[in-house]
Amino acid sequence: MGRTLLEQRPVFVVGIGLHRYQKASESTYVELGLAAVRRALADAAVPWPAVESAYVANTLLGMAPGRAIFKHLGATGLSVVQVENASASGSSAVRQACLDVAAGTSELVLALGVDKPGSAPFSFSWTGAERLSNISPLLSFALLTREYMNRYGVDVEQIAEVALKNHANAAHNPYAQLQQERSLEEVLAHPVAGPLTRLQCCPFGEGAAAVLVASEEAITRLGIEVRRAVQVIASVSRSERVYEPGQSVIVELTRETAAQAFVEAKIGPGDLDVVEVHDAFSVEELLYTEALGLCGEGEGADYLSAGRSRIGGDCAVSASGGLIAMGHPFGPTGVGQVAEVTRQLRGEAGVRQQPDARLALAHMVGIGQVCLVHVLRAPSA
Amino acid sequence: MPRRVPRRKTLFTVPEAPDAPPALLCGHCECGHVFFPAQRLGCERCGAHGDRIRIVEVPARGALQAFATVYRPRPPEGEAPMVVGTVMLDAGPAFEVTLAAREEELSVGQRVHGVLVESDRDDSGNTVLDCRFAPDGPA
Repeated sequence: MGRTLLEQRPVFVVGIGLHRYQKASESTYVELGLAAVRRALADAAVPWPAVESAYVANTLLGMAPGRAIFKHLGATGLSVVQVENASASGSSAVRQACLDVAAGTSELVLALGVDKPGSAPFSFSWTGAERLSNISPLLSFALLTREYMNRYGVDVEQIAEVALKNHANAAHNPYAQLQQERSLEEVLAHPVAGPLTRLQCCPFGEGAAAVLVASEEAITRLGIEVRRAVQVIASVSRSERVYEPGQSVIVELTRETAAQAFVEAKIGPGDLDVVEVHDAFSVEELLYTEALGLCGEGEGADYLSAGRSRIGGDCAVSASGGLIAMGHPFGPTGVGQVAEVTRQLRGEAGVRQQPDARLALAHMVGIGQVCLVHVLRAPSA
Repeated sequence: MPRRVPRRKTLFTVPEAPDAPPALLCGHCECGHVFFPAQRLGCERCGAHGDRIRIVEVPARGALQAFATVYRPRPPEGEAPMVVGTVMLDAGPAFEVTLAAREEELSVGQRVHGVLVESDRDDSGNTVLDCRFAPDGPA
């Protein structure tokens, strides 16, 4: 086994910046990316030439979009690498940035996620494998929702409560794509497939999110505020194995990825104050609060309805609004989660602030087959 | 003479008798792993490939784990009204299918079997068949 993040040089998130997630617009990805990077630099109060290396997460922009963005910041000669890992691309960019600093290769590294809906097809359509039915991920999640409802005797209103909570959280998030609180009636309107309705499926759009990670040396040398530096204490990346028939891949994969992250961070699920999960569809939040160990198996709906995952509850889940309401523009999503939990751990989340937030976890799944988990810790008071 | 042909010949068989049920072509690895669809590129469980994987015809019979009506199918998925489901084959693998039934006719755990449904004709005038699943009727 290699070394965990905590066994290497300490890594800190020192700057965050977002461009609002939104419907595809006239803005170019260059403009979206620049807005996020400039905000992250301003947040950390560091100059662009101090950034030594950049990882650019995107899924839809084609070859090497990073340079087209960075040239407008002044061409400094920094290392630029694109990162693609489906919905988890942004999380993988954050992980690469952390590993770069932890290993001592760089002192200050940027993870940028940027995307615009484009025409890039899923590479899985090129594998040559034939399928019995053209069933999209959305339909798979509709079936998974039904299975969950049958197994635990949960009704559509209980599932819809996920969207109710997350749309309410996003109403206070200026970077969210959907900033509107919704009634149960509204959430249950517009059926798409099975129990899934339009407001229980994440919107796809465009946007950008940037995170700057730094070593202690960089923090000292650049005069970065230590009390706003949030340490990353675990970074785990896994892919699926073969599970027993009837077991859900995303649930088992999340369970084993999170378990490894807890060991590496030397914490347990009960220690978490803030969690962002891959809630692209409402049922996912229930499945993941269980798989992360925030509650027991089959207890997800009760955990939610008791208010334990609300802001102010035991552990605020998707205080940003999550993928369901903040949005899921692919490349930015995983970076945006880390920006959100950093804001929370600094105590700078305003009306969305989880009181006394000390430990946070960010979780993403990509194409149902890869999973990334990061754990972050608040600066000491 | 036009024939009845499968849309995907690597996925299921088309028996001579028009009403006979199709068989699904599964991979059976020497490690014991049975999977659908079949391929010999390599077993997902153990990595064995080529002749160490047998292609076996498995009866398209199983149990319905879940089903859902698709209210607004997108073009490649099919046309409304459409019902999709998750089927666990008696032989082991579970996968998603299009059902040849309305939601009211279905229940979780119900026995289902493969049925061949005419979808269109190819350039040679052959009838192209899709494999869907339908609930077992009263015996």
